[in-house]
Amino acid sequence: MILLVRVDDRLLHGQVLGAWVPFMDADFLIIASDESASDSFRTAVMSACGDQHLRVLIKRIEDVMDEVEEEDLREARGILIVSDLKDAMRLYDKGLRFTSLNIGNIHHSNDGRRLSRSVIINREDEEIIERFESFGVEIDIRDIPTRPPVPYEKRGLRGE
Amino acid sequence: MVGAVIITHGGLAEAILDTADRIAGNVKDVRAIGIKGAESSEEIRAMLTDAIKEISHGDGVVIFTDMFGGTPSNIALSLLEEGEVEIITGVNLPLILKFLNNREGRSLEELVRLLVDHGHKSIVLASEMLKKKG
Repeated sequence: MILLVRVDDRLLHGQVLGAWVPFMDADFLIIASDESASDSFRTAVMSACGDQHLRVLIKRIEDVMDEVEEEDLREARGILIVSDLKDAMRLYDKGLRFTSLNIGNIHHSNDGRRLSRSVIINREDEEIIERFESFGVEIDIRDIPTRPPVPYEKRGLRGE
Repeated sequence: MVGAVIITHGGLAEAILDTADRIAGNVKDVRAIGIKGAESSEEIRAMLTDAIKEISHGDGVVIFTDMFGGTPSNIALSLLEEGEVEIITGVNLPLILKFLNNREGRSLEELVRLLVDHGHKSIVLASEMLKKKG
């Protein structure tokens, strides 16, 4: 059972292992990334972050749905991480359902609009966020669970 | 002489280096980088490669990171070059003091073995250790 879906361009890192995993009491992590799944070095490093209490699975986007329907994962507590909003929407379009989407780290430094310290989004991201909102998915912008979420404001509301 | 970069989340790297300087001194060719959260991965990687360039004189470099799996560690791993750039995770004060006091006259390979052995032994449960000694 996926309890948290998170967008994080760093994928698996300190905020995930040190804050979200204990907060959600997660038993498994799915790193859904075509790039990482095809990179044996990154796969090895991320897998090494697992232990007997935490399974770390690195999957291509197209393989995620089959994985989450596996019986052992349906019973367990999981966090799914994608590197960008596009991949989150690809999963939604493939049938993965979630009521809230956590946005932790997005750094579009060139043409971006800053929503929080670690979330800088571009136009394409805005369109995807607004599409998620139209589906009733709550947008939860925060890096770690102990901080209050930053509200998503549409472009122009603050004269941008 | 082997150089070092300490790279961590928050202000830990700077604080460890400052503390080690007060205790042992000899912090020439050691740099500290703290990741504060707003930097992109590319920016962090650039900070790290710049620091390595500054302190590298051909004898090798150790990158100390705070935790395996964290961003500082993940980015450092992309710069790993066995025999040239080695990475040690789980940095703490005893490890850095050991580094500062043992980096002269040792190859990078000997030094990192010594440090990792020492690092493993540097965390003790005091009550247990005192019982053994008594």
